[in-house]
Amino acid sequence: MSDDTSGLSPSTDRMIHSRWRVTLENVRSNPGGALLVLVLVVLAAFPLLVADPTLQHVFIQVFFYATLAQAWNILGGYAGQLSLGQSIFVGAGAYTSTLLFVKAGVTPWIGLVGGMLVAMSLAILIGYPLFRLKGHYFAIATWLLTEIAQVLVINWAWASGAVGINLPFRGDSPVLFQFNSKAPFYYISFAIAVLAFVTTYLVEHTKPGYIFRAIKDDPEAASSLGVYILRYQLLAFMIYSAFSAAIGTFYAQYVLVIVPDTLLKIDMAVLAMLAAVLGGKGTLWGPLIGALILAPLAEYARILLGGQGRAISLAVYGFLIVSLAIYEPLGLMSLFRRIRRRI
Amino acid sequence: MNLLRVCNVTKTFGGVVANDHINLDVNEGEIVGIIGPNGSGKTTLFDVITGFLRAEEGSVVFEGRNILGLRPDQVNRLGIARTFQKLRPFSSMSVRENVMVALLSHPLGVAEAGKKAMEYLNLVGLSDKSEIPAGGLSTGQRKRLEVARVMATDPRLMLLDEPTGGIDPEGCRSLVELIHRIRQRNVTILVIEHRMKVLAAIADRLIALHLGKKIAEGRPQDVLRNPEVVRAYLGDAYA
Repeated sequence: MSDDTSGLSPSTDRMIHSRWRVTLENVRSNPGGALLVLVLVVLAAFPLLVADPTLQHVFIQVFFYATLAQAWNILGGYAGQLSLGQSIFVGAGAYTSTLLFVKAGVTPWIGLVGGMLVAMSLAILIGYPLFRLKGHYFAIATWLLTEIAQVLVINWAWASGAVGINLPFRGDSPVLFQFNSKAPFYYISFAIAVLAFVTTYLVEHTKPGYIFRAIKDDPEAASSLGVYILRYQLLAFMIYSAFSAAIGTFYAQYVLVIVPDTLLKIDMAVLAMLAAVLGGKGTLWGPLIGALILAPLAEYARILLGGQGRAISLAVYGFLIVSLAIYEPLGLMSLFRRIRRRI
Repeated sequence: MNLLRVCNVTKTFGGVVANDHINLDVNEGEIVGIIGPNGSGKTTLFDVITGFLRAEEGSVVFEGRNILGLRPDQVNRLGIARTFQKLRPFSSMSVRENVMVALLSHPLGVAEAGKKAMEYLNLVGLSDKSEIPAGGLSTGQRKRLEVARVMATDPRLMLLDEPTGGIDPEGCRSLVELIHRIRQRNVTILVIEHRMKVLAAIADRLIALHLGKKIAEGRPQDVLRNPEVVRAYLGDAYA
């Protein structure tokens, strides 16, 4: 800093210098925080730098699955409750906002909140009896519920049944959650994913996070220490359902069509879970890393190979699951940690 | 003063009567030992008292209140804490976090719980291990961690299920010492134990179970010489 331009007193100058040092030391001592800032800046600037809609679409998919995976992570990775029922809540969000919009003209922004409330109520209704089931039985029950939900919606004439609902496009309207370009959708899904990330961070560092992990390790020991397990299971289930519903409303607005045959299927839940497990369940960064790998894979397989792409990506998932189980059962995050320790 | 009264408790599994009309009293400040061969219903009784199992008959009254039918966490909140025969640490969590869980379930913030957890780790002599994963502790250390964890729930009555199981003689001595220290904190103790030496060192009174029935009760030296107790453990030839 030269004297003629700054005009700052030496003490201020020193302060600035020391603040710089502090920042650099922070980066060194807290690489996670620095990485977070870097990732946020790059992702926020991305649509400004890359105009290619396909690439923007791929990143929207990444945020979509990152949110689902993070929601799964809170319930499955931290609290240890393996659910395959995520599509139910994605569907609850998509159908609530869409029906409110189509039937009553309510803006999907309010529908988004409504969908989250519906999903959380459903979570309590479903969770209350279902959390009596342990481990795999819980997972199977949530899977079956997804199938039941699909059948119910297919037979629900008022909601157009199997045909699904086409959302009328009213032109570029932020108030109605409708946009001509992909960039606004990019930022909205980005915001939801960031919110899921922040929520996970908060969960990790507050009382629920500790209790969740205790329940995952040994529910009976936790209850013997005064933990009302069901209350915390329901809490995790509600957080999971709320984020799934929020991204469900987003999905409906982005695609502008919801069909029970594709929406209320277990596939989405499986891919979200896979992303969390691949990245590292029970870790803050794992779901994002998993989504960054799996969502583009699914998307490009579809773009390049069309209908057959689905089978190819399924084969790749299978390969990933098997190699993960053998070489890195704790996910890529544990691999990164090992590498960092070596360095 | 009476703290816990178990009345006519009966618990069956299919055709097996694990607890057959069991009666027992525990008074404030006492250390009561429960003995009996494997399968005599000791752990079942603990499970019934702490809400893990529901008895078909009888009542369990703690401080004047019938607690039968309450959930384990409710029983714990009323002031009864237990350890398990099979060790159950939260293995993926650190030693300190294990104790924090107990503190957090009784309203306390994370920061305070972190601080207070150290007090309990000090009590059991594990403060130097606070940050390692609980899965990395030895059996003896895990037993101590369990004691720290249940002490953190601030109990009036503590049920210890074989605290010295799988521990070497040195570890046994320090556990006996720890139990004495716990008693000094006004905690009443009901303990299942197989080592008679340990019982002789800590128990004021013994209760012997056999095939789900109470067969003897009294001062340790008397119960251990009771012919029925000897027969239960060693067979007719020794009685």
